[in-house]
Amino acid sequence: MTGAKKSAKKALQRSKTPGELGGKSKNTSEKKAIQGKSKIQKAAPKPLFEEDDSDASSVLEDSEDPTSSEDDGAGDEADSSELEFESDADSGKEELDQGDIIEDKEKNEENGGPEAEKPEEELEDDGVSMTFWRADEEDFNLKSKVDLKKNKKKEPLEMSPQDRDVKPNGKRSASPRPSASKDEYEFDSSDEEDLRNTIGNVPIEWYDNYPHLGYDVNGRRVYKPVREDQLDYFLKKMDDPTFWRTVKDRMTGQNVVLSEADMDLINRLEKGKNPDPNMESYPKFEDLYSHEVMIHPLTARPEAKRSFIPSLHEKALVGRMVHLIKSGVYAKCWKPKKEEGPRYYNLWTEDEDPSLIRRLRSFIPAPKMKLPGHEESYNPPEEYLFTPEEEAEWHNQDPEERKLNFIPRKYSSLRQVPGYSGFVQERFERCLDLYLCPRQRKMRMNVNPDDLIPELPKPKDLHPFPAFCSVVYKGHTDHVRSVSMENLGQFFASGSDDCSVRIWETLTGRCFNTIQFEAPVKWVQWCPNPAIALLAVASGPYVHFVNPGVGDKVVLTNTDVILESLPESEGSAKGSGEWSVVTDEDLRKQGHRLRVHHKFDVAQVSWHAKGDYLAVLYGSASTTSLIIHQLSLRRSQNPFSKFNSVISRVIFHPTRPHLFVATQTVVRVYNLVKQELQKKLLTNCKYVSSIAVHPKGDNVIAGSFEARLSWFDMDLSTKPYKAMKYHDSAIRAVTFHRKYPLFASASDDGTVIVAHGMVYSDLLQNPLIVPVKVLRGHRRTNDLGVLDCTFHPTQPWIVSAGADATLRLYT
Amino acid sequence: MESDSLQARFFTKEEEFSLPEDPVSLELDVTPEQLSLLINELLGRQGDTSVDFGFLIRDNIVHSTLREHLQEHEISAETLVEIEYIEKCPSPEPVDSLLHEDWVSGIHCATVGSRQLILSGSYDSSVTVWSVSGKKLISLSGHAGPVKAVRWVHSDERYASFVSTSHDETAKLWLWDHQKNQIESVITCKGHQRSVDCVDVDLSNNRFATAGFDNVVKIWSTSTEATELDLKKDSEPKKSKLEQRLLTRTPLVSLANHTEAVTGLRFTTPSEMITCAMDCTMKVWDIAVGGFTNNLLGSKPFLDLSYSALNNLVLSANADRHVRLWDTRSKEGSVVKSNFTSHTGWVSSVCWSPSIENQFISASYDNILKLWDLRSAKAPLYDMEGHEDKILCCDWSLEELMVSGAADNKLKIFRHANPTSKSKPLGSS
Repeated sequence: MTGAKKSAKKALQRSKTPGELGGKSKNTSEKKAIQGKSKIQKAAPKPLFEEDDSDASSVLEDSEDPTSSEDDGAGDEADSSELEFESDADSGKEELDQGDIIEDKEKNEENGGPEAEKPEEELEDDGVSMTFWRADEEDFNLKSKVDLKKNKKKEPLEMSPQDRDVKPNGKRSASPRPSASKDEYEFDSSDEEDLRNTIGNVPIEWYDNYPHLGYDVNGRRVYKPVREDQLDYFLKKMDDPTFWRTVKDRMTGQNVVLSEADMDLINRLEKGKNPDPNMESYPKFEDLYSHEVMIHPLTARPEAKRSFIPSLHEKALVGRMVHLIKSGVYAKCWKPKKEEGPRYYNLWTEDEDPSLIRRLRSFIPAPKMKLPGHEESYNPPEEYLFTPEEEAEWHNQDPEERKLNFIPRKYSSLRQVPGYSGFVQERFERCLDLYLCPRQRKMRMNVNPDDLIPELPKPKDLHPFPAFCSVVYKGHTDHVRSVSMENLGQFFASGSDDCSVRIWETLTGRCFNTIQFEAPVKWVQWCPNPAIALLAVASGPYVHFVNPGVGDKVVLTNTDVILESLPESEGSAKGSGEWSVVTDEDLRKQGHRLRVHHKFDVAQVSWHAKGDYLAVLYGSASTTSLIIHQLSLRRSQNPFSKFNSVISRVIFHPTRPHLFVATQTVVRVYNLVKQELQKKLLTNCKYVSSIAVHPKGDNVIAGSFEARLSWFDMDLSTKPYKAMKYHDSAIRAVTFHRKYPLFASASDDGTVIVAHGMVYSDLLQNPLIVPVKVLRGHRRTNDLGVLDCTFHPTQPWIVSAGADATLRLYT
Repeated sequence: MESDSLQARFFTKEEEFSLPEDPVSLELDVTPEQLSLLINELLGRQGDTSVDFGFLIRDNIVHSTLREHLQEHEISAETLVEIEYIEKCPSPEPVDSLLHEDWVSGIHCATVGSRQLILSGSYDSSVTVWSVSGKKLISLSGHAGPVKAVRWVHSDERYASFVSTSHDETAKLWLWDHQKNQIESVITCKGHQRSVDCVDVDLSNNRFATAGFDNVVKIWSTSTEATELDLKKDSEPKKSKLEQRLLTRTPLVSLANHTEAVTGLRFTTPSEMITCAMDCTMKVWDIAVGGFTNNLLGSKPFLDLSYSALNNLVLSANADRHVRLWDTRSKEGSVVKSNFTSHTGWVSSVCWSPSIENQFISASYDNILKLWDLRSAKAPLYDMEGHEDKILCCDWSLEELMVSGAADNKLKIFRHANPTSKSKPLGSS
């Protein structure tokens, strides 16, 4: 059983036995009422005690209880009412006081003084209940009496901690706080409270001149208490420890000693606290609607029937929608609502206007004035003074253009300096500047022009590349038009306008062989097939196949054998070349083996990488034709029935069956197997002079007569990946190195420029192009510089053919 | 404040010229010539007896004033500087210029019998034997292409043999009766597929090695008699005595590892050979095993090399302006010990001195033959000018003869008069 139930049960028991007061159970309202009754019953026959008490009080303290005598006079009814009131109000206290007494007893026992026990015994002797009842009425008087009796044993304030607690339940607190129990109203009502004086709500001052204070319920006067004289007042002040909290009730004219509880209440009110000390300011909050889902509904009310049956209204609505959907109207107008997700906003963002903040934060100080310099001095150094010419110029200039807005003058002393006439004007303008000129922070980038140039590796990190002219090959007597290296690089051939082809030893510069032709040699190219040693030479309208006579003897003889065994030319396409075998012994000795006649002068020949096919470009400046010879069959074919534009160069792809045909502006890439145009590389040039294909086949460079060099990455686009214009004059030839990442361009300005052109096998990486070296040495002749160049097949060397009739090897 | 004088102590290794080793105070601006005068004065030599001295500070030859030399080599002038003086190498004298029909591309000198002979190969496919005095003893035109290199092989009282290599892909071993001045036999060594550019005879004169643009080094027997390696042309009728002795020989060994033309080749020990090639490598071969034991990587294609038995160092001529000194045995650091830079064109050929371990000559495409001392990397001892075109080859097999052949068809002989030199017979170098 819980404590609460226990107490309730006890209370019930008590209500059956109202006489019992010694119960130690806690007070309940029921019990109070019962106690009150019992008190009345007991109090009525024994008014003497009251008198005794009042006497005692009057004996001890003269003005202790002035009303007591009056009470006597007031009659029983008033007493009874008062008693009732008192008993009711102090019903709780009594019990506690009992407990108090018990405690006191214990304390006394502890103290062990027999004398100390005496007053308690007396009290007990007098009758427990009555004594306390009286004590309740007189409240503090009794205590003071007890105090006096106990004398110095205990401090009165110490004695009554319970009093303090109880007091609010006393006279005052009872009325504002109606008790929770019903019974209380039967015996006690606020109307009856303190109605000893019934003057109502009139100022008490009205009774100042009367001996009475007012009237009681029965209309009798309530007299003022006897006025104490100054001596009494002083003695009280000196002796009574409760003097400081004794106040006079003006309604009754009696002194009231404020109890500890009253003081506490006053203090609380002064501090603005809740007057009730038991009141919890911040009670623990119990959430009724908690997050915990309860298994039972809050209400036991059954669900309404309509929540079970389908709604007719909705049915109609659905029906209408179904109709709309069926008729197709709904699909048109209905759009699924955009699901609105939770909205977020930046809690920490600053709400202020960013422009405002920017303006506030980026305060731009006013520009500083230029500090005075030497020229502003009254005695400037001579060099700052204007010469007459400078002064004249200064006068001629617009005021805006002048570097200085005054003429520096020299004075022998500061004293002689005249007033400055423009001072006010200058100040004014400065003020205008400060206040009118909008100030703006300009983000000026301090860019070093060199930084804008893309960072290229330094040429010295890109070694090896040709840099010095090492060998000069002299022997030709006219412009050297073409140069071609043998596969091993031990020899190379050069064709010249002096109608000869010369074979040179690369290392020593020795001319090994000279082959004469009837017409200037336009082009010479070594057959790339290592099994045969054969030169294709374009001279006049012929393409000559020449055995160079150098290199491996076995290969040379093989070459001759192969050429002899070639079948007779047959069924060549119409209009293509006529093949003929050189039979003249002198020519054969020189190396001539075969020749093909064309309608026009041959401009260029180009071997296929396998060394069997040979593309030949012939024609005049305005019309060109392309023909492809097949050496092994001595056959010629015309790949293009009609080619509209003028072809400047033709070249085979090193690995794939592609043919690059450079017209004046475009490089066309033809697929020879599919017989179609594969790509068109736009050079942005007007006259493409030469093209070269990277040995891997994906990059093409094209040089033009406008000195522009374009690098095409065929994987990237048909436009140049890089266009370079570093030559001063027309580019005559471009070439790639077979092994090293090098390419070179020969120009009419007499230079060969070697560039590093690294092509990465990683497709994501674009080629790296860095011009590394300008090779000079050739002399310009007839406005022609270097006409051709070719790299050594294995070394980073380049041979250039110059218009000055020399060839140069750069290493 | 830099002082103008330094404390120096002269010393020499030649007892003839020794001086008391007392410190001497020298002005810093003194030149080697003045120092030489000073030494002569101290030695008390005057007039004809005076000797030109050269000076070395810490094994570097002094070319300029002492101040500049000390600055260049960062030697403090505060401390006592030890200066070695040596008898200065006298300047080489041009002796003769032998005119050829065509470019002179191969040269070798030797003492044959009692005579000092010069063997030269030319671009006109001829091999010529000259006496030092400039007399053409015999000119042989057996090659079908320009001769690239020649080498004396062996000589005795009557016969001398030499080998020549050519663009016609053969090397020819000639046996020459120098008494009668006639060719006894010619052995054609066939096997190369390209021009044969270099040749060297091993130390025991039993084998010679050739190499060229076919990247293969081939070793042949030097026997002038018919061996089992020789192919016989049975089908051909016997013609003459000389024709009878035309033999064709096949190689003993082929060593193929170079990837580009082999341009230089020298035997170092009886079983070891160094080759250099255009593929920028220098390989040390063990002939007995037939493989290379060391592969030295250069930065430029090699054109020639020379090996000195005196100091075991290798010189290389590259397709650039420098002569490089290699120590093939060095395991630590760079194998290139120093660069000798003074030429302005490709260095086409280098050759060690046969007797002086510090000296060598280099021939270059800048038409100048230079005499170098190892202790002076920046400047050569002497420039020998005279050629009017690229010098293609040089040789210093005889101590007093430095010869060079050039593209101006001339073979120039310079006499190197080294006072301490002593003549050595052929084959002992």
